[in-house]
Amino acid sequence: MTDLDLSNDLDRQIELQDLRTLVLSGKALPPERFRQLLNAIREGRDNAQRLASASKKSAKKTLAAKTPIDLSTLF
Amino acid sequence: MTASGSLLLERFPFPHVLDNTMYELWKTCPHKFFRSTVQGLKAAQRDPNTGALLTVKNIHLHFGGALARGLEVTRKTYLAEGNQGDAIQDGAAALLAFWGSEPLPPPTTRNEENKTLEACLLAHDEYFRAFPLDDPQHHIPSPDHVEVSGTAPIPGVVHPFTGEPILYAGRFDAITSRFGVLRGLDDKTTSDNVDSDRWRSKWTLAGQFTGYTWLAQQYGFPIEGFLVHGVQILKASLKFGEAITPRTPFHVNTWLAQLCFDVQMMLRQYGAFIQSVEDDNGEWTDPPHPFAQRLGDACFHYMRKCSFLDDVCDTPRPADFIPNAFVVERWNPLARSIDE
Repeated sequence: MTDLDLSNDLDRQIELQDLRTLVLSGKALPPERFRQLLNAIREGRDNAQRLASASKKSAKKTLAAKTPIDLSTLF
Repeated sequence: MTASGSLLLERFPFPHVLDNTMYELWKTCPHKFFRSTVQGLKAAQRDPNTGALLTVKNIHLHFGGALARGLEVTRKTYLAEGNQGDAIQDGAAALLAFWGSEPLPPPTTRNEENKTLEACLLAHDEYFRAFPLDDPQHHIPSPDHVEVSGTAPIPGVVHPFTGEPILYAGRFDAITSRFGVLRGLDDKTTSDNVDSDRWRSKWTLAGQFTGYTWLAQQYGFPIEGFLVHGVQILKASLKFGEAITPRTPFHVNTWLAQLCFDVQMMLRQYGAFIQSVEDDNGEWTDPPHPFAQRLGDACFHYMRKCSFLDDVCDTPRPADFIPNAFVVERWNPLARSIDE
């Protein structure tokens, strides 16, 4: 089977659960499905990393865009 | 020996075999060693449905155990059959089998959150990209050099009931030969930065590796120290690092002399404990406890509260609480992992 769509978390979890059940029932791990699952996990992780770093950059930009406080007005 | 004396020894047996985990426990807090190793207490929670006391799985140990199992099977399969892809596949299946189907307790820290089955499968796969099986830097001579274990009598100490030697036991991941230099190999999952001097220098004098070196030498493997492979588990990435930590005869002799001294001290503490409770129905009441309570950093160790803090050390009558918060489950260093 090579055409599974594992592009979202839920599909990936279901596939992982299926493969776990196979192994726990004493059957062999299907190489192609397992490789596809690993790639999907890796892709999901990389996307999460990209999102996290994009949101960090955007937070930095927002902070830099704020007007600096004129300290003389505080005293 | 009186009947009550023999019951006492059944409730509080001194171990016949010690390993690094038990020894480290004693060094951290002798009282924790006493409660977990001599008394055999393991923290448990009541099942709300059945009312039974059940031990709680430790996420870090479960993750580390599953990864170790996957790495072990991968190495053994590769050394027997020679195909890296098939070996990694077999290792992943063993990892999944080890992980099992029972749910883990909900994570309580960010480090625990990162230790998912998905992260474990990725760590297993990417480990062999960082340390390829066919790389001469990571050469393991034969399947017999994977999951090395052994015991040796600790010189000069005997068991207080049997008079037999007390054994020291150890198990580590592999013996490697890097261009002819034999070293032990131990894989460590960690949240520390494995690229840092801080992480590498953690192992400089680690008794765990000196003890394994001594044991390996007793079995005729002339290893000269250890390679530590660090697997850093982050939320969205994994990092791999290596520390090389040599062991000379100086290190081994110093460690062994200290071990002998410390085990004699444990036995003195044990003798004093048995004597102090013999006429008191086995319940200890008057401080100080012969297995000293550290009452300091040890009560909050590795970013978590000691499991004996609330129901044992922070109460004047621990015997009232122990039956509702612990089960008796002794660690046996000679037992293989649960899946074998």
